[in-house]
Amino acid sequence: MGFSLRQWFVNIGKRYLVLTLWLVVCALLFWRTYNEFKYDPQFFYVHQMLGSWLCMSRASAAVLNLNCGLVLVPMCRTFVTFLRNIQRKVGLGTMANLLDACKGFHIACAYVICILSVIHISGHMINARNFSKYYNPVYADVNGVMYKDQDPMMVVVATVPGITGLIMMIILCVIFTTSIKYTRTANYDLFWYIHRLVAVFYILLLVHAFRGPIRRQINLDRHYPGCEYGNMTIPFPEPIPEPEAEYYAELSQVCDEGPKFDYIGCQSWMWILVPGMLYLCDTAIRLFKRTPTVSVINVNRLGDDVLEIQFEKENFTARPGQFVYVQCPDISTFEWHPYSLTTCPLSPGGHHSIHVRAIGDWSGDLLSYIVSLIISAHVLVFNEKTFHSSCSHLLIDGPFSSPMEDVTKYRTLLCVAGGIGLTPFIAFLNAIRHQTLKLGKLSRICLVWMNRDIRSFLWFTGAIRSLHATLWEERPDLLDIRYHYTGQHSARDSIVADLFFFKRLRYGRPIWKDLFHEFAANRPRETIGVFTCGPRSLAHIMKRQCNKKYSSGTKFDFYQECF
Amino acid sequence: MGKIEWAMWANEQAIASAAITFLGGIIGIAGMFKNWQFSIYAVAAGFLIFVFEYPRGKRLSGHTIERKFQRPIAKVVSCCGPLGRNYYVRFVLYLVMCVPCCFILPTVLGGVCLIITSAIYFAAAIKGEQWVPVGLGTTEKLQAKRLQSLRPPQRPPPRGPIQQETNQQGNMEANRF
Repeated sequence: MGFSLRQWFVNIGKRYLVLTLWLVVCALLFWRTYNEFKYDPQFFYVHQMLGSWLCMSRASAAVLNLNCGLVLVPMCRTFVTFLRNIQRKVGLGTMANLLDACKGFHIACAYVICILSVIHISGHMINARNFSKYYNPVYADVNGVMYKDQDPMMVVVATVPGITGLIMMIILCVIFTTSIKYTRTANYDLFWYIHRLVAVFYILLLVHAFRGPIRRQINLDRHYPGCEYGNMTIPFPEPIPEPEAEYYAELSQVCDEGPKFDYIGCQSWMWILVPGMLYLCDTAIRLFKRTPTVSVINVNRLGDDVLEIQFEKENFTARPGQFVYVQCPDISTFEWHPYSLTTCPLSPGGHHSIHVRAIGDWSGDLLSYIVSLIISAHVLVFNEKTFHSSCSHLLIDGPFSSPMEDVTKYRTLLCVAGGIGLTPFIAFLNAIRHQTLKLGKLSRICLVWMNRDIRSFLWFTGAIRSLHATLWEERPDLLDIRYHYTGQHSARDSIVADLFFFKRLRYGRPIWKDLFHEFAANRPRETIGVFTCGPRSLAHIMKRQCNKKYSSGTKFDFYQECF
Repeated sequence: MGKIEWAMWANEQAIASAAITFLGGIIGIAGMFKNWQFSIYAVAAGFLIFVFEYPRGKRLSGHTIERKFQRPIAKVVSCCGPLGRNYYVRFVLYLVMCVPCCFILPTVLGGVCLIITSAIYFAAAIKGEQWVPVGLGTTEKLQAKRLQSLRPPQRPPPRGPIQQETNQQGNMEANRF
């Protein structure tokens, strides 16, 4: 049993194919722009002075413009959710696969921007030196410096492109260092706030090429490049490119007038206009959708660190598997945190809910804040930890699509959840329980829930138990639940739970190889959907198992959501 | 904003600045810029800063992911005493080291990035952060810990996982079948 190339392509390979195509487009654009600056007669005199680094810097500029536009598109979340809704109707699996990889494409574009910026700035530094060293005494207008051997630093600090370019590189460097995975996961707030500097980056990009030192000739009809005018000789730092040598050799005639030059002008706006407008519209729609007030209907505290928040919002409908961004203005004005929805009533007037686990600063503050509201409101509480409020203390943005929405297109599902990662699956189980979701051809859901703390299993036992009871009459074989307790077992770890829970409780991590072989043996030649929501290491293990070849012909399609 | 580990960001920024300074120096030498001697300094400074900043310090909370092959360099840096530990030293050091980079064009960007690194280290120093080596001298403890968990079984088979053997009277045992 080895590696299945077909399954690798279905699960991951399509994304690499799109990445390869995109890289080919970038390479072609680079090559085309390089040749344009090398052979175009407009740039003959500039090319004489600067050589091939003119072509390198301008070619990298073109690819940079393209990628600065493309990098915005995956971040248009409303647009991506809209495309996902279309994909669900059309049924194109590839489209779903690519939409789920949006963040990866954004990161790939960002890497290309960083690498090409290095080439671009290196090219322009050498251009500055060449402007200084190969000053054209004959046609002074083509020069980027005021006199021969002027300090190349003046090309940078005394021009708009120089200053804007330097500031943009500094912003890019700072964004890069806060965005690499190690720093980003440790200091997400810092990453988020520093990333807002891209607004400054784009404003500077729009004016970057204003009155730059590189000039193009505008009177080609009256002055052939290289022709004699006033008996002057021009130094040639580099041989004339071969194919055009004959063209220029023939035109060694006297011209009427000298060459006239003009700035290249700003072109970045053409590349970033459409993606920029798309992003601005997307942001406007999100800001508009955030405004309807959220009514917090009910808050339950489950265990020490989990809150269930039930809310109601005008014109808000969501599908199971989608997630929302939550803001609590009383805690932080700028922070929005993503949470999967755990209840999605499709009928209007129903309550949605999210489960928030207090593991970070913001979520910890939210827990304390809600608890303090309970104390200060002096509400007569029953059920020990229930709070009713119709005032809005939360803002909700969304819903946004996630890979977890595709569960209904499979006959058999293997859902693997780590810790609080059960939330997207709970949304489905609740939807099945309330019969708001059509099961379609779904015949078996195997839910594997792993927790390091035994008390964490109490978060959702109610929901799972009531679903089991609902299904017992008609579809008793639909749901197969396996609880895995992966923590260190000790005498203090005891919980009050029923036989249903203890009969399904296992100790230690699942043996994935055995589990997958069990599925492969029971479901030959079938395609099984494997959905993982949990830590990245878990997703990595599941991906490896899904890409293997099984002798029964069973194929596993892999979907993940990581936190 | 939550708790920010400034030293972590300063370390990454220092590595990036060192790389930019190094590259700027290479361009200065290869491009035969005037006063190219500053480029030689930039190449040397970039390399030294990269090596000095290569070992990651221990995080305030959470798991520190070490860079590959960082332990020998971490040993050297920890031998420097307060020069390696204290972030005020790094703040002053980078502020001074960036000055020669600002005289020629190729190394200007490296110089400015070093100033930013210096400022972030200043913020880290004010917050009282310190560079603490990771993974030096703890391998023996881990091994000892692993050995202690192996004990011979108390009961004949069939028996549950090792942790269960320690608690045969707990509620879990009573309810499970």
